[in-house]
Amino acid sequence: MTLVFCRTYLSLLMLINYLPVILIMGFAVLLAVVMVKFSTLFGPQRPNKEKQSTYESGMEPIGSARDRFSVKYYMVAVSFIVFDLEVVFLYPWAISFLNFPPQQMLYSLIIALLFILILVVGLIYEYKKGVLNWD
Amino acid sequence: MINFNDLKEIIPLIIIAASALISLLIAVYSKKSGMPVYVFSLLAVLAALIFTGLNVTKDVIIISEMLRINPYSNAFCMIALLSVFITFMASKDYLEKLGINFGEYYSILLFALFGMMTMIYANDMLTVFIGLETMSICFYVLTGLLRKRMKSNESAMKYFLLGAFMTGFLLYGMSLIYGATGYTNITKILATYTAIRTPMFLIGLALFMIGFFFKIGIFPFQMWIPDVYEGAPTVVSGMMSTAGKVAAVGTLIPVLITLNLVEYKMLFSILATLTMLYGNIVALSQSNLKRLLAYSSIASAGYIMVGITSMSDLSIKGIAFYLLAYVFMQLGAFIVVSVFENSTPDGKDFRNVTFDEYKGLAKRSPVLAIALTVFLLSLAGIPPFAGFWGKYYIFYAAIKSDLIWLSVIAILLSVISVYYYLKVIVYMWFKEPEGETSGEAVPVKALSYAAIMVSLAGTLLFGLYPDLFFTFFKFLIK
Amino acid sequence: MLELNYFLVLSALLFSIGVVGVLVRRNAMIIFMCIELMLNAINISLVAFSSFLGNDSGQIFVFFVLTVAAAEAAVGLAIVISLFRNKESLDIDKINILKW
Repeated sequence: MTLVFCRTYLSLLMLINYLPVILIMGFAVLLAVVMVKFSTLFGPQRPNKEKQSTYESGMEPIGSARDRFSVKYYMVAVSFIVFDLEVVFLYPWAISFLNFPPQQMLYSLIIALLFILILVVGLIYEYKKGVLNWD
Repeated sequence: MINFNDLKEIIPLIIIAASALISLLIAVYSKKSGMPVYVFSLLAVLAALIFTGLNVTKDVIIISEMLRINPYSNAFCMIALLSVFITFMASKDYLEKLGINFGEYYSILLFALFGMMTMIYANDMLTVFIGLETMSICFYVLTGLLRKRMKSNESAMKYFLLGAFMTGFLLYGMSLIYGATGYTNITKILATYTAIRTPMFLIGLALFMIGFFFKIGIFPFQMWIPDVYEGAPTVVSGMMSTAGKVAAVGTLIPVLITLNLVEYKMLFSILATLTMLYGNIVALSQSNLKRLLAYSSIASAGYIMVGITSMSDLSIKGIAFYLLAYVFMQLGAFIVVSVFENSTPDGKDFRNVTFDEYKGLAKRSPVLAIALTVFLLSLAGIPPFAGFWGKYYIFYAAIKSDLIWLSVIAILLSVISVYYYLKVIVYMWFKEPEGETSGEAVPVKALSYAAIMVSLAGTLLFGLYPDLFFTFFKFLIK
Repeated sequence: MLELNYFLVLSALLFSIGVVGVLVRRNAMIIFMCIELMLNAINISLVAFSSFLGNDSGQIFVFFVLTVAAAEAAVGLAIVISLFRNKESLDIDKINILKW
């Protein structure tokens, strides 16, 4: 039992290392609260109808936010998700490229180009299918 | 390390991957006719089949130990390729009939095939995962291909949600195995596993197997099979039930045989019994032929499980033969259904898939009726056909490893299965046709005809000369 | 340095929340989100193992899991849309044409 307590205590002690982070977080929260509060306390307040509307500039909000969207947004979102995540594979390759032995460099370059080629085929397909045309 | 020489060992994989990409481009550049992409993908699968066949005895570990090309994996790969080849032959006519002849179909099917081959050749859990997911994602799409049809949508949805859910378990298993052993490489895991049989490893292994049992359709994870096969386009159901099963079995079996989990034999045999029981008993009450074939697919998953339970080289040989026979008979039966099947007048549902609509098929199109009779008898395990030898080798292996009670149950249940297969045959041969189209012969296009004939030839050939298989795959006999 | 167990417990908890969500919720989209939660729980455990074993394979694995999850999301949303067009509902209790 004591052992468990000791271990918990020890791991709490470890958290001391994170003290600066906690301080910064606390300071950030404090600063935000203080700045917002001070401006409402000391700032001039002369409200009128225009200022009270939801967006001070831009369009008047119309209708509910739970409307259906055009499927075109979905197409863009899907292509974005897929292409965005494929790039994840290029980061480790790019980082380690210079560390490859010279005889492996060509190989790894060709493999990366093949990978991009596959993405390009997907892009050509999307283009020919007219996914990239908004209208 | 990696180098270009490795690439020549995986020519079949490269052919399939490249042709999947190229056929996507062909499909989008020749919108009007489906012919170019059809011919191209058929040739690609044939080329891959020939290349695998030429190098069937190779045994190497390549690409940073990610892939392992050995005779077993080559054998399973060839069976999967064969299944997809026959599916391709039958697809064009069927898709045109239903008005969904998109060129993308061929591309997606090739990607699925690529996934299956990667999975079978995999020597690393990462490769297994990628292959499995490539295959599954393509299957979800193919299942939902009939976009306007409620049944197809619904089965795609069910398949997708359950499939993704089970993938979660599979992955969690992989992560626990990785945590317990420190490797993702299967060879290394298998080498170290006796030393570290920790609970974490065993739980991981159990979750890993659950993921595969789901794909094969072993008992507690079989519920998706009938719904998905009924709603999917018929040729796709045929392909999923054959090639998909071959891929999952081909990946799991080498691992399980090496692990040699003798102390779990009892558990495996109970699972096998329940699977066979469920498949065969529920099939008795079916009146839709697609659904009947789905239940027979569960039953055959049970027979395969009997083979897995025996865990010997003999049983791998039996399972390989059974899967080959299964490709011919199950796919053949699905293709006959796809030829006879039609859309309802409003295009929202399938027609000609219930038993009643099969009445008097023998009078209308004797060739179709004969073919379907042969396939069903072979599935039931009647002697002169290939299915009999498949079951024979599996049960023989089970008896050799002291599982006599299990083989007795399996044999009894396959006797029960004769009843429901015979019911269809009786409807076809001994009942009078009904309805307005009763007198007409069923129109069969040449390519579907060829696909049926290939399946029929395979069922008969391997039924009459089962040794042919073992002459080709000599290495399966030790 | 924190103990490995903390991460594993976190990952197991998240995974269980995902599983329970899949089993309890009836909306197809929310079920799908629960599945994504399961995958992310697995990612945590993979990264934790990788870090504690001092071995990179786990992190590489996470990249692939992320990518596969994205591909799955794309296909899954397409299936959801085509179902919604026919059915006007995502309640999985109403998806019941196919049975027995």
